[in-house]
Amino acid sequence: MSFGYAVIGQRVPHTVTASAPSYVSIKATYSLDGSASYPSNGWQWDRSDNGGSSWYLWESAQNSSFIAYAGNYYVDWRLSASRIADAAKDTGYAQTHVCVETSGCDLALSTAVAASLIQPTDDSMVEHYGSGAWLVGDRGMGQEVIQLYSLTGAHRDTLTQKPNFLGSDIRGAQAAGGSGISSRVLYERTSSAPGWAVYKLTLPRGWNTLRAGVALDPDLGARAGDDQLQVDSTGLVIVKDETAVVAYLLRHAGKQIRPVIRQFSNGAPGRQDPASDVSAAAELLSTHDAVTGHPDDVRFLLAFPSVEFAAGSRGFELITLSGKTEQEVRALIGKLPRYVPDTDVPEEADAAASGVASSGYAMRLLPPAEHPSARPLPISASVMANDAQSTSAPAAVRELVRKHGITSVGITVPEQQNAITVRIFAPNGRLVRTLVQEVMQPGNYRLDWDKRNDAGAEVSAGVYVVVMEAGGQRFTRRFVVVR
Amino acid sequence: MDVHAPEAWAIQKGSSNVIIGILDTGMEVTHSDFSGKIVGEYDFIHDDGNAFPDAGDRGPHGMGSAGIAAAKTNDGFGVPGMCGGDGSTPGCSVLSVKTIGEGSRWHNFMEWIGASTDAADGGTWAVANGAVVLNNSWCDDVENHALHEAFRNAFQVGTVVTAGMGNNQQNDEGAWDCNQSTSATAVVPAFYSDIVMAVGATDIQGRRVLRDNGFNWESGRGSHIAVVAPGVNHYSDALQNGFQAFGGTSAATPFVSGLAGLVYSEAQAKGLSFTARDNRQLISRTAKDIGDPGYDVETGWGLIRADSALKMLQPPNQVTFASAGTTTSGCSSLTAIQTWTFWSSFVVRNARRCEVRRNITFDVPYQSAPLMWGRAVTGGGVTPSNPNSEVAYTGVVDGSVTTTGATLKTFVYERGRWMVSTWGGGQLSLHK
Repeated sequence: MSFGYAVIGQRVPHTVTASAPSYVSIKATYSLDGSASYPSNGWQWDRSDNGGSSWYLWESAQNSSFIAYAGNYYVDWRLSASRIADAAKDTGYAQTHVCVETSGCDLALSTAVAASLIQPTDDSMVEHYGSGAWLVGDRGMGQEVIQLYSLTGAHRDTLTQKPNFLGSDIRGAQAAGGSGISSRVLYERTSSAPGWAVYKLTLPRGWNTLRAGVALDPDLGARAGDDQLQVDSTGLVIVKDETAVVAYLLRHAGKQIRPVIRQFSNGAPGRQDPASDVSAAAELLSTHDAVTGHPDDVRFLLAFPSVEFAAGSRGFELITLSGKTEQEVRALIGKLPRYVPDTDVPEEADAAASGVASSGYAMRLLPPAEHPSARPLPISASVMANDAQSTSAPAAVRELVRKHGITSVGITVPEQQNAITVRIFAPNGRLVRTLVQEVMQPGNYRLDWDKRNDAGAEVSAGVYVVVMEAGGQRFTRRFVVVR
Repeated sequence: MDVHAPEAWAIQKGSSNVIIGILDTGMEVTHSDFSGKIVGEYDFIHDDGNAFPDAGDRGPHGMGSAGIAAAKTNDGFGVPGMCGGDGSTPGCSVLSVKTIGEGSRWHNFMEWIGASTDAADGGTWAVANGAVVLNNSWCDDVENHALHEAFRNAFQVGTVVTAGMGNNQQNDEGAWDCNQSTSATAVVPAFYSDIVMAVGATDIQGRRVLRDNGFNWESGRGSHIAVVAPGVNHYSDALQNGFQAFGGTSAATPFVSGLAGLVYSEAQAKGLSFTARDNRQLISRTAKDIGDPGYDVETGWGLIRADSALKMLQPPNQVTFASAGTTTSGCSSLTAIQTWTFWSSFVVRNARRCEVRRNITFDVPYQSAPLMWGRAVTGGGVTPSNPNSEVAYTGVVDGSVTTTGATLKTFVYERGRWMVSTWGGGQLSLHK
């Protein structure tokens, strides 16, 4: 009689102490580009226990132990520095081979140090710093640097083929096979049409903090009056000419998270040309310290504080800043419109809300995460053509309405009758109109909103939130009213 | 209480290589929540290649089932499916297998009793077209040998077959429809518990759906139940690119189907050769125990936990498949002569069941008692409830798993000379 079985569990491990290469422990002052020095205390070693598919990030792993089961392990060590985020992580490795419980190799350790250890390549260093956007996420398991992509720079046309080192596909490859960064913020270029750069921003589930920012580069110029930002139905952010400076301003539950503005100048005495001013940019990104700049050549870094995200409430606003002085930037940020203030608007409504900024630029929020408590709606959306064709609306707004605006909702009432409530809220949270509040028989219904409030008066242009409640659940969609 | 899908999606969002067959009223293949996901369709009611649902109030049922199992997730449209990918990736693929429609018994009687012969054909077709999960959000109170054979074959080649425990409702004529309030009244396909994963429904408090708790239906019960999943307050896809509220064990079942798709996807990614039994065991044994402690006839192994199932496959856990060779011991227990259903010949016979056991020792001990289940092997015994349905079986003796080993069991049957009756024929024919 034969038997078969499956066993899943954590086997009693061996504890292996794998030391990093000896000279690493020196932690000596090290120069990234050969011209600048950094304090040693910013450096540390990251370790991977299984060939690089899963990195223990930001871990001081000089002599750390790990659990080893039967098999071969290739323990990689890589130099990293919290000061410059992801900068040096992919630049070189040391490798320790651990072999456990396999024939001829019982807990044997062998060490090979890669020749390229901590030798960053020049072009990767240069590529990032100009204008650029960065995103840093924390998933609750210690800090994890996710993706950093440059918006501009000499290599912009090859961004998809060869992401710069801050957005290295090496990291992506690790993410695919590992557990640490399998959910990553993806900020990738999806089109390379001349004159335009299209970036897609995708936020995975499960991230509980996120920071984002932009390094501004007025050297690259800006075209006043252009519609530099557009949003299409897939959440693409379109940046015209790659000269617009885009900041993703995080919101949570209707609260606007304001960035901290840092300034530096590549024209300051002792600073190098922007294309090679790696150390200045690295310092800026790592310390967020302001650098005294030349008044005619100012860069800014917008540093956003960590923000707690909840399912269904994550989203972004887009603002544009370019060619401004620090005072102008500060003033502009201070005047950012508040789209959905903290009112009695349900949180879901707030999260789903979107708006048209007073500056004329369009914005939208990314779709809320699919969370059981925030299931999408039994609502179908359609666009009224006359809205999209409105000539009084800015081009970007027309585009937004064409692709996102809805003026009717369809409801399917299932096999059992249901108490259905459909209400429309104004951006300030005020109840504008109750479309339906009754028990509806099974069937398909289409509700059209005539853009009037309960008193019969036409509502003003703006973004309105439709909240449908049925079966103990609440769902939201938004109307964009353009006049 | 939910199934913790988002946490599971952090690990696995579904592979398009994994195909879920939806045996139901058919689907609207142009629905935006399934764009790029439906890899085939067939109408077994009208025998043609267009499985669009027939008119009628049950027409959207297939969309509802499919939506929960595999609607595109995080795509900014519609509802999220358990195995729905992540916006840019489609997740599990879907076969639309229309087995219920105008010509079916369900239609004729305006009741929800399915058409099991069509389902047998549809299931076989789906497996031949690559389905590794068959979702059956339906039941039929008429026994059907062809259906058992089709689903048994599916199970044997690695297809997880799920089925609803039924809603135990009265139909328009006041008759009980698919009443599975006891094991004795179990109906197909849930009844085929050796090869079908029967799924009951829970409410939002994580309790079995009961009339006592204010519902007008109850989740079926019986010793054939495997697990339970949420069965109330869902929205899923409907026809005309729309959505609908969707509930009952019809909704609970595709939760399990979708999770089975995720498990297969993750096993694929990990290079694990999972069988249907492996998949089923992983889902069952990682479920959250609710109701009476341990397995019970109302909630089975408990409420499925998608995250727990997938996390079980993650390091530092190791998955080991092994065989234990032979045993020379005799029967550890032997039943009295009693009647058993011999499915291969579709008769009921007298037989004695012998339980054979074997102790095993793990080559490397575990830190704590591991999760363990038996796997079918050639030359082994068969299941404890279907002696001759050619479903090979190894089980693990309850409470025997320690950090160092376990006791396995399987069953062989000593068939008597007496054939009691032909199944369902009503003729008692004794043969010596």
